[in-house]
Amino acid sequence: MTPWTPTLTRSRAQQRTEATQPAASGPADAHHQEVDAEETGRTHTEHGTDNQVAALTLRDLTVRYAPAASPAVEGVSLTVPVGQTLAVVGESGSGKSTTAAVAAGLLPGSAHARTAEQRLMGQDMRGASDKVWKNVRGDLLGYVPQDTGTGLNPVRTIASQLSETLRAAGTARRQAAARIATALADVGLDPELHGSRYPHELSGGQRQRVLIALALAREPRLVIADEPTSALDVSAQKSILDLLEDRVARAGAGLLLITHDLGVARDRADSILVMEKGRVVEEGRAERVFADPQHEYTRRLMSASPVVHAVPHRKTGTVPEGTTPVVRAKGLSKAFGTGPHRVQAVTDVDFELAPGRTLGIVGESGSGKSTTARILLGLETYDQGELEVFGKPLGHNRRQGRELATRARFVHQDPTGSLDPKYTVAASIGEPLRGFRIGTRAERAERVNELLDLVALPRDLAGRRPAELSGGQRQRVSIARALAVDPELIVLDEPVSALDVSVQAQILDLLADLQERLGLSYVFISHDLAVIRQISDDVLVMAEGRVIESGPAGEVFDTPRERLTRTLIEAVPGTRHESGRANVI
Amino acid sequence: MTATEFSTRLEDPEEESVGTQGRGRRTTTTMLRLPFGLILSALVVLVVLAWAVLPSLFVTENPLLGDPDIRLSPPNAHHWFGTDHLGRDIFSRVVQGAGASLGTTAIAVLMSFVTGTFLGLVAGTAGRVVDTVLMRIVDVLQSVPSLLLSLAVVASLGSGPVNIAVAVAVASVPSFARLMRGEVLRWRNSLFIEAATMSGIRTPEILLRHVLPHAIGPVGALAAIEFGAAVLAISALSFLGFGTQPPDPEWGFLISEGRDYLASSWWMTVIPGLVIAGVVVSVNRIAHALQTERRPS
Amino acid sequence: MNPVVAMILRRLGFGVLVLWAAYTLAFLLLYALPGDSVAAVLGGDLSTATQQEIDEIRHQYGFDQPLIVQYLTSLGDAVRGNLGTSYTTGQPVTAAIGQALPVTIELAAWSLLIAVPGGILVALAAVGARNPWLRNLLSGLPSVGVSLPTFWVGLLLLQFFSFRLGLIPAIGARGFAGVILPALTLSLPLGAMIAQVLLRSLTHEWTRQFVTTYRAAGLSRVRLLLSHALPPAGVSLLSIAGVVLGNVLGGAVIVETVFTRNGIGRLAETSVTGQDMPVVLGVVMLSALVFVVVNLVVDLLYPILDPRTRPVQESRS
Repeated sequence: MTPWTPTLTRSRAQQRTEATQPAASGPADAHHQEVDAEETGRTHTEHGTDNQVAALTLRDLTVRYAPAASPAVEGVSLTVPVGQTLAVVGESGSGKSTTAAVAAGLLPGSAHARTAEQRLMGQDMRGASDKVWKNVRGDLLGYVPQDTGTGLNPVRTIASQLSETLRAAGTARRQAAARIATALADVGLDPELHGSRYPHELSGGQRQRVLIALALAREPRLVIADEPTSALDVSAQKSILDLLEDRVARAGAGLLLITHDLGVARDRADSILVMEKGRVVEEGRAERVFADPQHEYTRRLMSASPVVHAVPHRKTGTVPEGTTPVVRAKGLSKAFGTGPHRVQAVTDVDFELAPGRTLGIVGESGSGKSTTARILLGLETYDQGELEVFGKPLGHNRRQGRELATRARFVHQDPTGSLDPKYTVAASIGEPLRGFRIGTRAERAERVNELLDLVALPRDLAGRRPAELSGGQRQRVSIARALAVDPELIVLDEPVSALDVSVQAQILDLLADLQERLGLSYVFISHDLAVIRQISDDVLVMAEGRVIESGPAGEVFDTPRERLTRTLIEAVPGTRHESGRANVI
Repeated sequence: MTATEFSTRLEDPEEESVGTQGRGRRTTTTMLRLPFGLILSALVVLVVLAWAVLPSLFVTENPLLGDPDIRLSPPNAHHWFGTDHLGRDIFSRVVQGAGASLGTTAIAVLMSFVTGTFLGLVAGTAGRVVDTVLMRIVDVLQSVPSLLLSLAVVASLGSGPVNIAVAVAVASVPSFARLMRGEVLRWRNSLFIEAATMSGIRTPEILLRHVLPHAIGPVGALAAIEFGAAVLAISALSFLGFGTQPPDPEWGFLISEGRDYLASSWWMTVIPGLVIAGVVVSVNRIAHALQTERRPS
Repeated sequence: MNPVVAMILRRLGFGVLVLWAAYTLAFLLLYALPGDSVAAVLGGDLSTATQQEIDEIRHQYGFDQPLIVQYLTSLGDAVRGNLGTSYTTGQPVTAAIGQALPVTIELAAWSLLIAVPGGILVALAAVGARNPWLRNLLSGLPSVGVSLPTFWVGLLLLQFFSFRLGLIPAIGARGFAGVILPALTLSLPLGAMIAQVLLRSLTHEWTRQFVTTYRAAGLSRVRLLLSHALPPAGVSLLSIAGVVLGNVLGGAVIVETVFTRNGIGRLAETSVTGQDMPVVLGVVMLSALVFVVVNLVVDLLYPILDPRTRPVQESRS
């Protein structure tokens, strides 16, 4: 990554920060605090009260998506002081993104929002017209969306998109080119190289950098970032958040950071607002909230969102000598494609899994962890190496036999995709029983009920379809389906990463409990180190198709030998405070 | 910006409220919220279907027997749609013609539906060679505009209601085949089918119990669209004189009869045309509703 | 070999294959089924012909040969540009098509000139309109447009402009006056189809995240529509170019019959009525050729208009 190029804007940004920061700490004096001339032009303190000019003020916000619907957001009030960061934390359905949409003026016309007060740098934005919004955008307000791959126009180059935005705001063509170069350099991109590219030619992290450049190109006073990093790998996540923090500080802006990740909030925010089901359940200074959470929901969230070092890893016994491993792989390799398109997905992977234990495979996307898992079950073939499952060699190019299929089962990452939306819960869970012709119809129905009990789902859910279940319930159904034929080994591919943290914890508990009761062996794939640490006996850290480190979970996490492993651990959000680098930007 | 963007990208309000009350409530509210245009469309289709099935309940005069005294009279209280050059009641002829027009259309759609979905299913499941051959044939059929293709079939088979039904069916086989194949391929790679395969379910059962239930929605919507298109195609072929033989009324043929009296008697062309347009617009509206209903799942 | 040249050659080869297959299928359809071609040659009446005359015709047109021989002979002729002679007029098919083609091209040009901008405008307005009522109305227009019977629309225009207003003579008008009503008629289904496809992809692009990104960056609605939603959506129009031009030919059958213009469409209609197989085959091949050529051009245009379909740039970093 290119280091930031210092620019003229820097000093201005700092001036601004200096001018506004005392205001944030001393409310009584705020009114008299002199802000620079440019700013007074933008703000008007109508009431002439002692209220300081905050970047954003929302009071008593209620949003309904349909007139008769229950509110998506109810009674939310928040303030983002200039130069400070407010993190809004919540799980899906908490209303945090709706709140951000209101603040950014991006709520769809069909939704109804009511606020007692909505101010942007002091300017009243209640019921503002499209035109008013258009005028504040870019200038007062910057918005960084989550890059789901479609955040930038796919058929235009990065430079042309940036240029258009600047020119629409009145920048002359020649100046625009220079500003783009600065803006791209500021986010660590090469204006020459990356400016001429199309979005699909950039990585997710690079696209997110462009989105930040776009939002901050005109140094707005309030930046709203809606889950800016949740589509990224942890190491990319960290550098993007560092960048955002740096750019916002230099612009002297306020930052409204929407995130589902408590770790991110803890590392980056001055203040935190926790939302649940459309309401604010807790708010306060970040240190206070983390040190002394008041609301029960916050405590639950915090205990459910494991921070790597805080999670005790499981107590692992020793494997008795001479036990036949459930899985033994040696020198496993696999490539996809041919010729110039050939990609080596897995290279020379060795591992063993003893009965009743859990092997965690951790790595970022593209590390080969999922391919490895799929090879174990014969869902992919492998090119080289040896693979024994239950003591029998699994051939190179043979699909898994029927007998093996009942002893080793697979749980997909995405319970929504892996359950047929048209099947009832009972039909899905009973499918392996039908497929392997186990039991009579009545016996199968009885077994389905047992399985529902086993995964702690109420029996009356049997007639529901996936759309009528929550994410956690769906994953329980797919675990129940895997258990239907009494397997010995379950391979779980990112089984909790599509779920909210509090639900994640419940599913992990369920898995641990099932393992103990049924003596199962797990191969557990995840990108999340905290999750892996919590559930694994042994760990395999993978990168670019190779195993870079392996061993008992405790050893790997507490005394990582490889630099890459350390980087991965340090990149995990929420670790800044532990690693002694707290408050260092 | 539209509502869909936010309801999909932002939190789904339903996500959390999925509770025990779920199912029944939702169906009743959707029933009540049906848009007015859709209800109207359904009414139009129902009325015209009733004409087709039981014309005797609706005709006011003998559609084949004219009264020379009232030739070419404009619409009035007795003859809602006016009378034609032989003094026949046009309303009764339109009602009577519904059977011929919609019957031929139904035969055409049924034939292409059965052939097309079968070909698509085979192409999607059988091996690569079969797939390639079938899809190349479909490509070739699509390289000729459908009306010309239908005309070529008529040239070969000769005119008549059944022959034009075949002609129209041939032209719409490709869209059914393509859609069905696409559905098979789409679901074939889905995770739940992988899960089913791993659960020991064999291919025929997967097709029957996983793929077909999902494909039936889009294919049904396409059938509705093709029905609308077939009404137009059949009436066009009849207009050109390849359909029913006089004096049997058929909508396209009614219009071609009116063509000679265009200068004096507008109602002979305008009214049957409005009926055709009304039916096609309504069918398309229903097809659209079917499509959007299916898409989210 | 240069990958672009290789791509063009591959596409050309594929186009030739489609033409051959179209010829074969059409030949089978028109000649293999039991229809009496001799009767068609004699104008539908066999009763007055002597056996000798019949035999002569069978020999002259090659009907006495096995089907495979007939097929190979006619295919060989077709490759050399000879599509045979018309049963009814005795004129070479290529000449008949050559005569009719300019009439249809004139019609096609005018109707595309109306339909393409018209369709695009309606779609843009339907997405861009602020007033929800107007937006609904405009988005409903295309689906009504494709639902109207073309021949009926033609008759209505004729009734209104020629008979009611007397602005344009019903028959025999030359130049612009002669082509405007047929062109309007044909442009309605074409424009509606263009609008429908563009509307669908515009609506899709309009809900995509980059529109939100740029809306949040302060771009106006018009600019969002024209410079962000339209370019990716416009690519979808390319994919239907072949179908649109095919529909021009199909629609010409109706429109030229309604307005009595002696173009390709009329030629198709009369040859089907007279079971004049060589002419029918010729018209079918013409439409297949149009389809193949248009799609070849479209395939070459795709990478120029849509960077996503270009081969990925070599990483220079």
